[in-house]
Amino acid sequence: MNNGVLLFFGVLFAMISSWFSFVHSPQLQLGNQVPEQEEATGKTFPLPRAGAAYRGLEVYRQNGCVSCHTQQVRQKSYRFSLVADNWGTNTAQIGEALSSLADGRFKKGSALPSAPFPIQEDLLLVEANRIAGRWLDKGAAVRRVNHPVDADIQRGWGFRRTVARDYLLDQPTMLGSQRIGPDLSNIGNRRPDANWHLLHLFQPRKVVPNSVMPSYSYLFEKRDLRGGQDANALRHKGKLVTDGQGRQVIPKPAARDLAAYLISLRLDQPVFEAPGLPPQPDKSDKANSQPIKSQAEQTK
Amino acid sequence: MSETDSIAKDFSAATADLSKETSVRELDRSCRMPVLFLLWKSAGWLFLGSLFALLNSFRFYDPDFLSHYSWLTYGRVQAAGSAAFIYGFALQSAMAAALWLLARMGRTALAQPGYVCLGIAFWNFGVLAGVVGILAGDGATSYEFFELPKYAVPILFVAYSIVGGLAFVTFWQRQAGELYVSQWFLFAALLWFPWIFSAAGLLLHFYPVRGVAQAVIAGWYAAGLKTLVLGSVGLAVIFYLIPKLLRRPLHSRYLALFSFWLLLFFGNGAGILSGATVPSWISGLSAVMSFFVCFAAIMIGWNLYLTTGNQMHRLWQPDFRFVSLSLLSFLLAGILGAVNALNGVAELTQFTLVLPALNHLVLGGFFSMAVFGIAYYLLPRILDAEWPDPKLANWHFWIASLGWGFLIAVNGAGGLIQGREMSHTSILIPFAAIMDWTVFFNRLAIFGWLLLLGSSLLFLANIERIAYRAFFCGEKRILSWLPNAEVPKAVEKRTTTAPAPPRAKAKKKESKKTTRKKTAAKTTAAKRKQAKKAAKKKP
Repeated sequence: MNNGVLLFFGVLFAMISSWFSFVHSPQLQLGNQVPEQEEATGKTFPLPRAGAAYRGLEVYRQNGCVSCHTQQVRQKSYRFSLVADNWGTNTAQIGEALSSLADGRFKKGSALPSAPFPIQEDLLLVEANRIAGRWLDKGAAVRRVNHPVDADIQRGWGFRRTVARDYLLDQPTMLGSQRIGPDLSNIGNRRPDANWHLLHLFQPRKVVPNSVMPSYSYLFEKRDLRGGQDANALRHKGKLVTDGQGRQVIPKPAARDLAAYLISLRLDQPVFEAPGLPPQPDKSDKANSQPIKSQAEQTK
Repeated sequence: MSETDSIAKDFSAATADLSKETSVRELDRSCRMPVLFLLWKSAGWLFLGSLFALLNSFRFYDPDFLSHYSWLTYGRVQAAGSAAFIYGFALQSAMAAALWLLARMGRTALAQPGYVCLGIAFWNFGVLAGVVGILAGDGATSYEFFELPKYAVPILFVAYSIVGGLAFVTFWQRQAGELYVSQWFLFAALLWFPWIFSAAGLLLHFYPVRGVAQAVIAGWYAAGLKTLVLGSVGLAVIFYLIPKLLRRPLHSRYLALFSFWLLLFFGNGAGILSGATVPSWISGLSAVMSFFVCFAAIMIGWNLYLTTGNQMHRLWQPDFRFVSLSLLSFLLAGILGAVNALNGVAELTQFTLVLPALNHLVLGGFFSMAVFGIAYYLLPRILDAEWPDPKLANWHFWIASLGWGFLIAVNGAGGLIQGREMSHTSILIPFAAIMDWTVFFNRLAIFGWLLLLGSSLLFLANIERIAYRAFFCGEKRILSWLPNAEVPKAVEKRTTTAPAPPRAKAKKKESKKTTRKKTAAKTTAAKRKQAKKAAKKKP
């Protein structure tokens, strides 16, 4: 191969094939996505982030939070459960079948349980289809529910895997490749409290012992207490938070934006590509924290 | 014709040619300023990049260290360190190696060294703007290896156009007709970089694509940069130095040709992120490509192994060490890259420290060792001076290889533990417990970075010392950096043509392109045979 021109065209050809496979095709597949209305929920997804949260993405990018935090939830497989919505008219056979369930929740002869009734859980797809077929033969209306399975999901980092559409309106996208800290794609669901985020940004070890996250104290203004307490000053369990020199700590706009962005990170809708059941709101958790309504609600 | 005759003729032809065409010393001298400038600057950026990495690894001991300064926060320092390493050190030292090799193997002087220097100055300005911009908060921190702020991209592109364009002109003006393997690789790298750099700059900064497509393009850019730009230059160095130092011809040109095309077509997609969010055909395609790259790596290793013949033991001699270790790392990286692409392994290693470990293997173990090797080889030649203290080069080798090796081992082991714990589903391990493990390994890494900081300082000092000696002490001898590698001048000159056997013998007195082709056709065929014979039978 001594011909420079031949070499040039060879390299050019390799470039073109590379371009088509990794730039052009993904762009064809993903580049024209738009927010769409979900058939299952009737809501449009995704919605743009509200003002402060939108600005917060910039703060997140500036400070390179992405070098320690991913925003991707993985999923290994699915498990399925069966739920009966309606028992139909064939009550005798249904009662018999219910009484033969292994867990013994239903005793023969008593009235049928009210629907929707979970029949069986933790099934593989084949099993679920077979069992559902048997119930359908008896006239019951049975529905199959998908349960995504993964350590990420067990850990509570999300109820479904993340899909390309989740990042549609983020510029730039913050996928991340390192998990030195936890995944943040649903941090708004886990920690809906802005004050917690502000405290955590100011001094992570105050709220998470052993954390190695650096303090972002430059996002906060330190002001002498002699000028009077500021209404926005950080408080922890009712007590005023002070820095090393006893000054009160007031979040700057960038810190508020970042907290708003973190709260807006919540994927609590199933989408067509990744079905699943959104978690039921946990009342006990809400009692402990006071979500900032304006920001959290706007992003919903 | 008898053996001795052919050798004698070969020998006299080579020396006669040298006196007439651009002499080796002349072309070395044309490279002097640009290559020295590039290597000096790249050593400086390497030092800065290691310093940033050291600062960040110290943060695992004291997270609040220097946390009051926004421009020194962990994320920004991480991105700035990566940019300093890639654009400051890696690409500049790659350019240095490429410029010199293209001039040497094309047997022509570097085109317009003054403008090349201007381009390099502009490039450094771009890198500085990029690193300062990242520290100021303008960086695109989510694109690995492309963290540059928007305004640094056009500066770097223009600067590269000058340097790369003149390298291209040098390539085009070559006197030697037949292209050697290293030249293919350099040519590919020369074209590939502006292509992916401009594509990534336009599609990520100027006309950003939407959503996850950004991450795919950033991954494509990073893979191309690692395998086809830096990787190609590293391989060009390996293919040049090993046959050259052994004074044996390359075992098989066709095997090298095959592995070249394999790498070119499949290297651009190997190791693209296997994220949870991109369409799975992308990671599937990337996995297949990783296997082809592994195949190519094994072929290259095999080819060079056969090239060594019975001289295998020499690969561990001091002047071989850098490049031998580089070849070993390349082989290992190719194999581990394919293993990491397997579905089960990818699930385990995703989002863990294994990814930085693999990057360290490619960029540190393979690429940086190759350019260190060529730097120690070319600097005495372009500067016309001897290494003041050859022992320091050896020290540099040991410290750098220990540093990279330690980092790769620590990150690899830590990442495997982290990945295994993170994917346990039967017993859910709390994330805080996993993090404690990860942090333990992150803390250990500080020793690796300390070694690397020391090695980069040593590299910088070595370059500055030989430059000082060349410019101020007036020693005018071409010598190798090691006393035992010293050879008589005539043989030394002749061996410059050894890896690409015959082309020096073609009569190129007129040295015009048109005549080059004619003479190549007429005279080389017969002479090539003689030369090959001679090269093979040479002790």
